Amino acid sequence: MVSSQELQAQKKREIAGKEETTIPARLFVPAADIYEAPDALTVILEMPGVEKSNVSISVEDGVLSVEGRLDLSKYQGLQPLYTEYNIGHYSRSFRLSSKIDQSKIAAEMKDGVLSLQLPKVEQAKPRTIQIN
Amino acid sequence: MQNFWHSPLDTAKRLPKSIHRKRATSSTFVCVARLVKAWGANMITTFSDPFEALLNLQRALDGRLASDWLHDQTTSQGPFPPINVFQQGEDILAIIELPGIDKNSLQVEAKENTIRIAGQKAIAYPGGASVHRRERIFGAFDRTLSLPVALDPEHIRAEYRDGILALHLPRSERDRPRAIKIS
Repeated sequence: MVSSQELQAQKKREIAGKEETTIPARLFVPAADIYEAPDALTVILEMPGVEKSNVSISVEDGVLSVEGRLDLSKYQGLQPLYTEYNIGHYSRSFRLSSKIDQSKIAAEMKDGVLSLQLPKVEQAKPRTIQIN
Repeated sequence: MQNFWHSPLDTAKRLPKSIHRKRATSSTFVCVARLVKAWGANMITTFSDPFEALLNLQRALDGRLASDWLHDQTTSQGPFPPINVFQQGEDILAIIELPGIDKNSLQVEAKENTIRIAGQKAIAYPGGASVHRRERIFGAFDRTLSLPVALDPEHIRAEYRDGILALHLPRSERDRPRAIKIS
């Protein structure tokens, strides 16, 4: 699907959370897509510049947290001349419903895009009921 | 005098536990470790907090938001994809955020002092899925960037990794500054 309208860059959203951060820097909220298939929920997060090894995903008290850290060493010795976006670490969390089987969450990272597969528990899957 | 400074070990101790746990593998932490070691060797120089490296970089990037370096030469801010331009020694480095792009659908062209970046970002949702949230943007894009320096198109290198397109743009030989000998 190609829109005829010119694409506009998204303004990066900064975190405005309740908790304060321990590092003196701004954190950004990665853009997310969430879609639901009959047997699983898929969450896709965009974290450009984050390596696979610098992503941490955790589930605690029913909250799925994703953190992506940027490797700043690549920016060493560079002098900005013209900028259109700012950089920083990424962080976002989602509250999971009881429909999700928390022990079977799978993740994949490719080209700065993190895909999370959240399978549903057996009872939550749709089923057709046979009429006798 | 010694008391005035926090001892390096204290600094490490004062860090909240969560940092130790979460960032044990991060390069920032390694940085602290190195610093502590350096201090141990009685190297007392100005104490720069490695945790502020990111903030300083963010400030530097913010400071350039109003830069007129590409004044009148590129379309105003807003078009996709967003570009940051850095100076690396004598050369120019353009860093473009383009997560989730198929490398083959990306086209980079260079001519004297202009760079054209065109391509298509496709997002496929499986059939039958209901979309709860859609924040990522997709579609075709075509952007041209004109630089105020002459480039050497033969030696331009493009690299796409982790959703970042980096364009190494060497300045052309005739555009490089030359030292002039005074006789």
